[in-house]
Amino acid sequence: MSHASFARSVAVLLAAAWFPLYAGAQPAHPPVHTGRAPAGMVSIPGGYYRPFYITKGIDSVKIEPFFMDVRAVTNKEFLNFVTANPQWSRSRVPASLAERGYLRQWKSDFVIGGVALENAPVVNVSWFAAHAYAAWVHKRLPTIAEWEYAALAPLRWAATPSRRSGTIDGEAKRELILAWYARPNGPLAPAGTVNENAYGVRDLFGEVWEWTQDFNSVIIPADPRGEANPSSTCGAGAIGTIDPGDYATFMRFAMRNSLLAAYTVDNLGFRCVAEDRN
Amino acid sequence: MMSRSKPLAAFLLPLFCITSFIACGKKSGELPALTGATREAVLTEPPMVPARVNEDGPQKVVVHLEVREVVKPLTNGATYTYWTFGGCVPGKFIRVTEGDEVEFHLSNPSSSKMPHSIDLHAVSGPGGGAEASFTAPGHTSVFSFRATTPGIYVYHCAAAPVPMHIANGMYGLIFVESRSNPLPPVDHEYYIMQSEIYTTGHYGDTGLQEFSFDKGLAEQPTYVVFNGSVGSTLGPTALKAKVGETVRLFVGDAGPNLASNFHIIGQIFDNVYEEGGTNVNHDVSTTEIPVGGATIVEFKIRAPGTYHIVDHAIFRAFNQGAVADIVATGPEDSTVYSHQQRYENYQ
Ligand SMILES: [Cu+2]
Repeated sequence: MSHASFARSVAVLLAAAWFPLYAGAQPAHPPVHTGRAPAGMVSIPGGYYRPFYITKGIDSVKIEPFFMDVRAVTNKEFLNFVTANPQWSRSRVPASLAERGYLRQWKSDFVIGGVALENAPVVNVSWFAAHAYAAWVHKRLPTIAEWEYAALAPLRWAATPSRRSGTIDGEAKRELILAWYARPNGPLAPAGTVNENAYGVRDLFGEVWEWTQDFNSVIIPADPRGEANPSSTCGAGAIGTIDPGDYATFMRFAMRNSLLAAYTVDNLGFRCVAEDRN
Repeated sequence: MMSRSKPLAAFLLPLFCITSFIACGKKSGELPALTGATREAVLTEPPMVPARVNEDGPQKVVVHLEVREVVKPLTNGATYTYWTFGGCVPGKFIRVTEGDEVEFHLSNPSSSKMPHSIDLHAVSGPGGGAEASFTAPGHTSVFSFRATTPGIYVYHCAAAPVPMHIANGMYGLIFVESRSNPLPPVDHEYYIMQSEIYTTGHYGDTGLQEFSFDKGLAEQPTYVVFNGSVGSTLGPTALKAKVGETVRLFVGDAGPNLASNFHIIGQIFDNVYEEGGTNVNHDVSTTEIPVGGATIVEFKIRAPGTYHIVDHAIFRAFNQGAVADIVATGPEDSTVYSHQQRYENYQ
């Protein structure tokens, strides 16, 4: 059996095994607590991240150890922020900081309207609002490098009667993620119930897109058939990326690249990170 | 496709200038003045084509096109998540006239998961509109271009990863009709596009089918189809015509990988506008349409019955879905086609 077809078979099996998580069931594993990460966060060890788009010849970025939220910020948590900072309520936020669709899933300025919605990831928040929230909880938004670095970890899958729990990585992981990106938006599962990875971080895939601190810093052309770095030699295709076969990552970069900081989008939320100063 | 050699243009010049100076200087880069009128483009779903608009001169034409990510039937018992221009595959047909200024509004609803864009091969400019139209969910991009050059052109999404956006259904045709030399009237105009679909499952598997990157890269499609799905143009949805009528097909090939060996079983094309350009060939049985290209074929129905439109790379038709039908009604004429006259023992 070829490597590709083997990986595909594995992906199909794993996708089936994974389904309970998509359906919103609790993950098999409790989040990893290292003992020093703040509540609701996990430690991400430092290391090196190879940027997806290589610009200015930088092909490796050092990642300092940091803490990352286990799950995306929920509507309920965001309501706490809005209540304490009413200038961020729907009717008061200036258009320059958040588009008209800001928090449009809520019933009104300070009413979410539904328990399911309260526990779902908050969406329709601008970068400015996400940034302000992060500062309010004494955290910050992750950089693209930090987000993608944390996302490189293998996913865990839940045990079923017929198989033990384990991890999913490589091509099989890629296909699993791609399958979600290729599906139309559906109702959001409760935050923290989707696709836990080896660090214990959940919801990175299979739930919502997430803002990053520097979402617009990778200046890739809106027309991706050109090169990523305008100063490099011209070419057709995905010149400048480290892996033109990684369609899932392409999609995240395309999505980030389509945004401006005041945008609000139905399937775009965020999570926070904090410095690990230990 | 009606661009002319200089002597012919010089000959026709005075004729045009009696009524207007619309067609003058097309190749020299000068653009004719707009009349000041504005119209909203009528867009049609396949297999229909909008009627030609007869107006006094080049107009501003406003096109509103909405991207939609929808789950639709792929074949019996199977569905696929199509990304579309206007909810249909191929996307809605756009028809403008040479010299028109097209004001394009590309909307991506907030329910979409992906950013999308459009590259129209009818645009003269880098990216064909792709950068100007790159649009996040919940937003609309507006850009304008002059339809400088007549022809039949493919349009498609150019958001990353481009092959997946095209494979998922984000393509269509735009026809820029010559102002000085419009196509002759026919009884029927239809719109067809060939494409491949790459799924992780096999041909005929049921349920929601998922995109296969491996098969796409290997250029080994699970399905080869006309108008987005197996059987899109068969039975009740087959194209219709009567004996003695003329038919024009606007045919595009979206790929993403395979050129089409476009053939109608039992038909000979009277006219083929090769690659949608200015060469018109005659009496052609099979014409090749490159990926990202389109052509126009014209023929007359001379005998009643069902005509199968195929990619004559015949496994694609027999095993992968590349069949569409024209059902022609009308009187038999045995001098054109006799059907079987005898069946005899031979040994
Ligand atoms: Cu697209």
